[in-house]
Amino acid sequence: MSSPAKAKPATAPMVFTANRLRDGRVVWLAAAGRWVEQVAEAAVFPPEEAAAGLALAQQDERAQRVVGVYGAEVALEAGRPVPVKFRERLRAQGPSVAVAAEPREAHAAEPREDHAKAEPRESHAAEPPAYRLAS
Amino acid sequence: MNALVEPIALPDPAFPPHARTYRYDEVDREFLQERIAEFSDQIARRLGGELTEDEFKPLRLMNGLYLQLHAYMYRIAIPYGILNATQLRQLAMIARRWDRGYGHFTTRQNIQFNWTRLEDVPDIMRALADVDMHAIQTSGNCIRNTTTDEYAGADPEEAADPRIYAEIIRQWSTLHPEFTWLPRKFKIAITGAPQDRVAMQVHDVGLVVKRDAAGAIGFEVWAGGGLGRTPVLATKLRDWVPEEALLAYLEAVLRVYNALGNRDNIYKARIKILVRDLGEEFRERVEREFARLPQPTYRLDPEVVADIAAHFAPPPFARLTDAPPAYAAALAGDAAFAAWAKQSVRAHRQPGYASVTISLKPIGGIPGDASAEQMEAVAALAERHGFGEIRVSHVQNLVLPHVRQEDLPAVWQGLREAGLATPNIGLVSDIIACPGMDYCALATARSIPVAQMISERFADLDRQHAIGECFINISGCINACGHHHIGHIGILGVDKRGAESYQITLGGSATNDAALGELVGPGFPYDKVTDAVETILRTYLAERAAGERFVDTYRRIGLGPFKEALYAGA
Ligand code: HEM
Ligand code: SF4
Repeated sequence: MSSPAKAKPATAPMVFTANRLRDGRVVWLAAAGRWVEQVAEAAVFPPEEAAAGLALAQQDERAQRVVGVYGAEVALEAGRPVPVKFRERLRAQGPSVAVAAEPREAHAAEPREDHAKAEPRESHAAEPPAYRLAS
Repeated sequence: MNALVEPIALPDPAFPPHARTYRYDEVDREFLQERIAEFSDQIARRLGGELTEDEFKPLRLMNGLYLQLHAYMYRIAIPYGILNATQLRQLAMIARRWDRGYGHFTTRQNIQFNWTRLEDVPDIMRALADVDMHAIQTSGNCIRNTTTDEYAGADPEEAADPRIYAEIIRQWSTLHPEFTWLPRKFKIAITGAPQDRVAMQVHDVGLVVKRDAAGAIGFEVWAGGGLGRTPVLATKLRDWVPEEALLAYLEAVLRVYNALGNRDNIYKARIKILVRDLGEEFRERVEREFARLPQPTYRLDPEVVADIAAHFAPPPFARLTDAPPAYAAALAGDAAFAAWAKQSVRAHRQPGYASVTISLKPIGGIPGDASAEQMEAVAALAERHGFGEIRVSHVQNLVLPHVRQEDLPAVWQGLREAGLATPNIGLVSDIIACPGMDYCALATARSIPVAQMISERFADLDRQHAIGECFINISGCINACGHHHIGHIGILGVDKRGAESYQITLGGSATNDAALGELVGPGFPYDKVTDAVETILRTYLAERAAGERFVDTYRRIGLGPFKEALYAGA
């Protein structure tokens, strides 16, 4: 996965995102080199520190913890980073259409994101009816 | 090499010395187990940090595993779109146990799971293998799964059963030593019916099975069709290739492509570019290669064909007559049933039987998605009423090919209970949509919510009937997985300075009168695209002559009136 943000020198504050190696879930680089599932908890790098942030993120790619590291521009809303580009906003929120929750059986003990459990979020005219039977 | 021709240059122990059938034999199973062991080991090494993503990516792509916007995505092969009830149940189990309880049926008659965890893939592969399924030939630059008519073996007009040849092509192409690393992916579609339901002309190779006056089987061969950023309709290479020469001829086409196809520029690598650039010379080169090939080596033995055909023998049909009283009474007595039957029930070659198309396009739903519960409901109905057989259509619906007409009311009830009886087959809400930006890493805009908005706008069935047959196809980027070029109304989502914008094409067609749609004008923002579709359909309704479908009116009056209606105030 690539993003134009990777190539160009940053002009806005940046966060760094990737997919977690073992399960592919979207993660964001946070303080102390942790990877978190909520963009709101991501570490924000001012433009002049973006290169250093990318290097930090790429260390974990080389260590085979995450895959497909790239940077995304953010704006700060109430002190929290929100991606500027629509693609990364979707990446942060999960699909804009109804998605069932994570399976219960196989991974019951593991922490999971709650973003996908939420109702559809985007602004299309009406909410899609819950057409899935028992999700 | 494979079973159908004698080994030539590259004998390979993985290929059996006899014909395989679509019911996998031991050799297939062994091969599958070897592949599972191999890919499981590669996954373990990836998880253990021994393989980098650069090293792992080509391996996972050979096994149907993509990395998408939110997660890994696993694409599972449904060879020529045929499933049995046991397999569909297993897909439901996989959806529930290792994914989020649903799957997405695609225009290539496969199924995708959107939330696969890398660490679960070995378990999923084993669960698939338990029912003779896998994810081979669903990605990478190989010959992909051959697609075919969802009514194969049931269609009253069919000249010959295309599944037989789809299976022969599967055997010939699976791991064909020469064709595992083609310049680019290669897609073959085959139909045995005069009515093209496989979008044959937008495939790398399209085949039409025909019979001559004496009843002998041969193939019309087309090549060089494709969608993506450069849509091209296929060129007919031959009117008639005799059955026994099918593999020799395909081999010749592939060899010319493999030798001359562009490997340097991914955008020019598909066979369509080669056929377009070479023109008549492409055909000549294929013919020369064909003449050069040792024909006996490639001869498709009639015994092998008969052997494979036996596996596609008709199910044990009962001797029945058409329009049994139970069906006639339900049609007369229940308007909702009649409305569904009108769109979903199709004539069958066997008296007293029908084919049922199951809409995976509920109003406001996600085109092609089915929940685990729905898959199980369909599997149960197939078992009870349809010899356990299910098909996936390239318009992302399911089909029960062989249902007794007298059972149709019960099938309808069962589908209704599962939320699968939307009576919209072939109407404006029967929309093809790719995953778009909601799932796809390559997308430039969303497609699913656009489909949802349009189907909600036209939810009223009377209105859909008034509009009549009209295919709306939506893709979330120029790769055209949602077939937008060949929709009567095609919608392509692009990124316009950071906002979603939707370009509309009109007049495309995926069938015998295949055509690429024409761009109607500047794109529309996300919240205006449904209005634009409505304007287009209102214009058509105002202009249409008696008996015309949308595409007929469009062909008669052209873009002008639609442009005017859409952009007059602008
Ligand atoms: C979500 C992951 C997917 C990725 C990364 C992907 C990628 C691509 C790419 C790159 C192309 C262009 C190929 C070319 O022009 O050479 C393409 C074409 C196509 N894909 Fe997909 N696709 C995805 C999903 C799908 C789905 C869900 C479907 C079915 C609904 C599909 C069916 C097709 C078809 C029919 C074409 C056009 C036919 C052609 O190859 O010319 N793909 N895809
Ligand atoms: S058309 Fe584009 S957005 Fe849609 S699935 Fe294909 S690659 Fe993804």
